[in-house]
Amino acid sequence: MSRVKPRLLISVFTILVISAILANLVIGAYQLSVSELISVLTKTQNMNPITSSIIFDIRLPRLILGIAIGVSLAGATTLMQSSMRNSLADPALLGLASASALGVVVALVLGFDFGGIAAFLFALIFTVVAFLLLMAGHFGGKRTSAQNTLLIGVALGAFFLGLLGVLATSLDNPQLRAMTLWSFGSLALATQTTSTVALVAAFVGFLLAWVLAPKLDLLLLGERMARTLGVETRKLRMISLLLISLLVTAAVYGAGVIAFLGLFSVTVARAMVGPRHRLLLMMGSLISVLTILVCDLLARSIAAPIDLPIGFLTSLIGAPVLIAILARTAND
Amino acid sequence: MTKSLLQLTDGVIARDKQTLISQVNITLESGEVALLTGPNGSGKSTLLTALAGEKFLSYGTLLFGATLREHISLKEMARKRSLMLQQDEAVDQLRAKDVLELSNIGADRPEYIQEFVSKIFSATLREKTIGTLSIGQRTRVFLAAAAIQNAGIMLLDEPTAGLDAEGISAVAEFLTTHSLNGHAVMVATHEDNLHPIAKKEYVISEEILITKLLN
Repeated sequence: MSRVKPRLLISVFTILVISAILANLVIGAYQLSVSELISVLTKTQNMNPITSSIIFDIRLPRLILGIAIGVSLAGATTLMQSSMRNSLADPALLGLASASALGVVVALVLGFDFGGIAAFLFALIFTVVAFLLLMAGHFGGKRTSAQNTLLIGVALGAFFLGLLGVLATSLDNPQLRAMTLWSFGSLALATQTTSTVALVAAFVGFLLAWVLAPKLDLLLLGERMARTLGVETRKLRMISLLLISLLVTAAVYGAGVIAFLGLFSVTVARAMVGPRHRLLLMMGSLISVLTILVCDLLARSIAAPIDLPIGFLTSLIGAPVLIAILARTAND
Repeated sequence: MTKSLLQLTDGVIARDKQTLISQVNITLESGEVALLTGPNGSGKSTLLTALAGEKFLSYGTLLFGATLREHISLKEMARKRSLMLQQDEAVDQLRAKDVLELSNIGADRPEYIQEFVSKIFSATLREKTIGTLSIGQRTRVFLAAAAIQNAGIMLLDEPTAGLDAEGISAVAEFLTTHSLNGHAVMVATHEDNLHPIAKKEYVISEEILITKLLN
């Protein structure tokens, strides 16, 4: 596949993302004009308290959470694919997202609040443990194939989801309702806390991945060659593992398991800009954020006033596009 | 005066807990091109990898200059030796120029290396993705990548695979020049097109390494 200049692609997608951000702030059950939005954000006029509340309590947290999730899923998927050398790796597919979700539910069962820091830490610990189990399966067997690792991941994910279901039944009613919505992947529960925590985690994770990118690029030459060129590949894998866990947690803790988004956006991005990590991280994040914002806009408008879980839409939109791209690259 | 750049004494090469070659004694000196030959599957690539200081050496002493391998960091190793393997695992979507760029560890490069790289790595190769290359083109890309490291020891697995006559003579000329600049080269091969420039031949025969001096 011939490649369009990456700089052009990134500029175009940046503009699209900015437009989507504006649209997400303006469009909704309560329509705003762009000038109203600007005056609320800059606080130049006496604000209508309702307008201000809609922006600051509902739409901004939701938007920020969406951006954080988009960036972290793209980052986590990029890192997973290169450290496992498997272009089908995806946090949801390999059970990491389920582990994160399980961590949140365990925190809830123990009496911590939904969306609090404790929930975040529990999710992080569970993800790290799940990842270690996955890697033990990946490297434990003699010459484990990519397919085997995928199957181990799928099995782990199913196991965690089972546990999650059992635990969730012990929750009180209102919590359970929130949980159900959340486990399908939804931005509806975004608060200022969840969106801030997720954004900080996503930002830190992305930045560290950016720093690591040149070394990860060497891994593209193969394990042996990377080591020959001076990269401590085992250390690099361990750091990646922690980073991936942080990013997956950032994505899951506020909005549940949004299946497919990472795999979709990174696959599309790679077809556009190739496998080098800085371009891939940038392009993957832009595509991922754009997709999640467009899906969220659809999720709250097509069946308004019902708020559809966004995970449904990302799958509906992502799957056909991904299949089309895979079919096209297979023909190259 | 020649000096020993790499020395493996009483080496045993093993893979998956199975001994492939024993009694391995190799000395690579500056100014020297050595060949490594043996039947398919006899462990040539494995031995090269072991000489590069990467796994597979289950017993033996490996010295780079006067320093034990264990006392050299991976980063320093990258400047001491380059390794080109047949079965590299580069990702198919990488472009040829990416491979070259990534292999650039910032080493100074004398004129003859630049010349060789521009000869073997033609402009038409640059934008091609690795997955679409022929065997000969692949050899060109990874040979150029090994060359720009400007390492004191070059360990090359079949560096003339798929090359045309012009390519082969460019490789022979480059390896000779490189060795004469105070470096050492070891080439695993089952062809005889690099025989004329070699001083020594190591032959793997029935799981033992034999040394032959060539003219």
